[in-house]
Amino acid sequence: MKKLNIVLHETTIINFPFFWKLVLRYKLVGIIVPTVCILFSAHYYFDQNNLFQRSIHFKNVSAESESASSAIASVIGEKTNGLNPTEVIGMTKSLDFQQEFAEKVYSHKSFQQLNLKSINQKGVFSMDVFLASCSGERECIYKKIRGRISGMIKIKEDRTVTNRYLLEALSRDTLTTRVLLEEAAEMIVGVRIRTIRHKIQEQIKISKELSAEKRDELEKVNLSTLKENKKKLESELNDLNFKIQSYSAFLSRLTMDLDFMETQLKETKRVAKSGIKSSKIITFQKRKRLEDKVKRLESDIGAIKIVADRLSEQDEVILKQLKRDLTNTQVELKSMGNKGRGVSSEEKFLTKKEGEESFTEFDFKVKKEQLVKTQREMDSTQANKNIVLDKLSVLDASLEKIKPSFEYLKLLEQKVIQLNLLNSTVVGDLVFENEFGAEKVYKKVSRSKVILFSIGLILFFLVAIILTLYLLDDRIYDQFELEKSFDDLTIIGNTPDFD
Amino acid sequence: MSGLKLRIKNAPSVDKANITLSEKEPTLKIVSDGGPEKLTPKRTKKKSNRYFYKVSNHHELFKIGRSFYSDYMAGVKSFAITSTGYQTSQQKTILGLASFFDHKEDLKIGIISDNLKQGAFKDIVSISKTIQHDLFGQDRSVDIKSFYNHFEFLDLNQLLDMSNDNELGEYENVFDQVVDLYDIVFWDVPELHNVQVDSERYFPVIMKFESISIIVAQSLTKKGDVEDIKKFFLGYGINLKGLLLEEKTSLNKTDSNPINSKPQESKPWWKKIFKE
Repeated sequence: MKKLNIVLHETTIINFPFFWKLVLRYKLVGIIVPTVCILFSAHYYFDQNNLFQRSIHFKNVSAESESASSAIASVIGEKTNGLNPTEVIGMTKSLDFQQEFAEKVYSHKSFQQLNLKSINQKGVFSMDVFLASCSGERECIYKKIRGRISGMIKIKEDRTVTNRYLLEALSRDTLTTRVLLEEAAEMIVGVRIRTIRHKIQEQIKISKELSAEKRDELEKVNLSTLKENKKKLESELNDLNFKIQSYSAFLSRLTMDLDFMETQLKETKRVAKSGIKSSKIITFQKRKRLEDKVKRLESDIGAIKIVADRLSEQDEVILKQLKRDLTNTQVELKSMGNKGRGVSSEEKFLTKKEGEESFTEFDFKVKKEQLVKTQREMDSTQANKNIVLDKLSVLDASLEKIKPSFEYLKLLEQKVIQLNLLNSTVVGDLVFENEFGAEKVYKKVSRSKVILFSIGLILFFLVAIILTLYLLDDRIYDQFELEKSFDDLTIIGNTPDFD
Repeated sequence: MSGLKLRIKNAPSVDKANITLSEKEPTLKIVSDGGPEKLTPKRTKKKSNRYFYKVSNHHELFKIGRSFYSDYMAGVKSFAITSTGYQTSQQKTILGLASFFDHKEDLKIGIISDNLKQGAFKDIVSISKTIQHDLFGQDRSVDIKSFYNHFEFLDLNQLLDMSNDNELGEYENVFDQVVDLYDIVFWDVPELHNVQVDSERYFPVIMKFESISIIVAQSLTKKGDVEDIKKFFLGYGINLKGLLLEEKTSLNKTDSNPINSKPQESKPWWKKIFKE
């Protein structure tokens, strides 16, 4: 424990000055461990195969308007589902893709010259030896090729540009890398077009199936009959409405006439029963006389005025007399007011109505019966209308029920047409650049990584071995250690040394 | 201040650890102004500071010397130096410390080792004068190798024999008397394995240690071995002063072992983890 306390430091964990002292103490370890680690690292680095890597960029335009497919799709109101980054990156992981890729590589003219040796394996690659175990069996060959080349291509996302990716091919020689990259790029575009087309064809198929299903449903319901029925009922309803309107107008007129005639009959009877008082007749007669007098005086005065140029004094006295009489008569007439004025009309009216009374009563009875009859007919028409309305509402409900199916059918048929158009114009949504990237030649683990690893290894083993040696070593090497080991004892000093 | 000049030619350098320590001719030369000194068994005045000692890492010696000196000033006078089998390092450290104390003060310094004729002591002991010192009468004397009155060497085995002599029956008293002879005593502690094998014999020696320091050889000494030494001496209640680091990494443990000591068993590490 005391030894550990010496080695450990409260701030730096390891007491580095003391550790350096230990390295100097165990010099051999301090030399052998770094040497061995460096030699091991150097051997590891130089023993690695040279790897040839090339890449090509491509863009996923499915989510952008520049995609031909998406442009056409948007014109016809169709939405296309684009690829997300995970799908793009994982495209080469699909077994179908790998199988097809293996077949494509196998059919390449330079296949025999390819080096399909794993990047970690040593030695020379021979295609004949590689495929010898398959004895020419295609499935076996494809499987073997698939197993090798699946790890040689990889899709990475470009972190600097959106929707941009990098297809990388990595192998043991230049030719293999180039062939794999070319074939993979071509494969990816082809697979993508097929995938889109397949998706559209599947949609067409499903739309057609649904369309047929809906059509069957509608045929079972017999939509045309329902529509005809509806038209008939609507026509009948219109007739009934017109009839009711006519009845209503006639009925209101009859009612008005009947009211009038009833009042007329009532008043006639009342007047005939009551008669005219005698004082009213005397007053009437007096008024009539005064009126006649005024007319006569005015006539006389007028006649005298016509011959005014030749009036004698006697005539003028007469004229004045006449005017005076006229004024008095008018005053007297005026003083009577309205008294005696309506007696003559009443008298006439009474005389007239006494004759008409029997006719009015007859007409009233006729009108009343007509009103009752009309009312009855209108009620009957109204009842018919209600029946027609009920039928019509039932029919409407049926039509409403099948309306969505009908609309759906129309949409499906429209959709099938759109999808057929899209299917004939489909293009890939992954667009590759024309030029490949420059070829990189490197080792799997880079020199800097190996150096770092080597330093780590040296430090680890140095610390481990030296600490182990130190902990197992019971000897005391210096005053510091002596003080730490025997902290309860005084260190007096060093022993004297004689020359 | 007195001083000592030691010039060790072809001395068993730690870099040349495979040189056989016991078989070489002594090559130590004493540089002095006058002629040969006359040694007396009694304590005589040391030579002046025309002598000096030559240590390549003076600052380290002064550093550890000051530490030991402060202990000495605190009343400790018996210092033991041990290691996990690096006898030469122990001896050089003791020589260095002895020289420091000798340089610092006028003290009577005793060095007790069971390997006086080997390692770093070999050359010095060979030119030192032998003095007989009676501990328990004339029959019971010990040989003291006096190096120009700077410090004196005693053979631990001789003392152990005397201590374990049943006839004498003095056991611990032998070492009490020896320690009393000096102002400061440095113990070149035998290898732990030997002490553990014959612990009864070594017990009186161990009990005289007032402070023990352990030498740790850089890149050679194992922590477990140091722990063993630490546990052993702490078990006796001896004050563990601290650790001394031997920086020469080319030390060869086998070569530095005394000839008569058994080589320490070195088990492979997996056997130590999975104890049998």
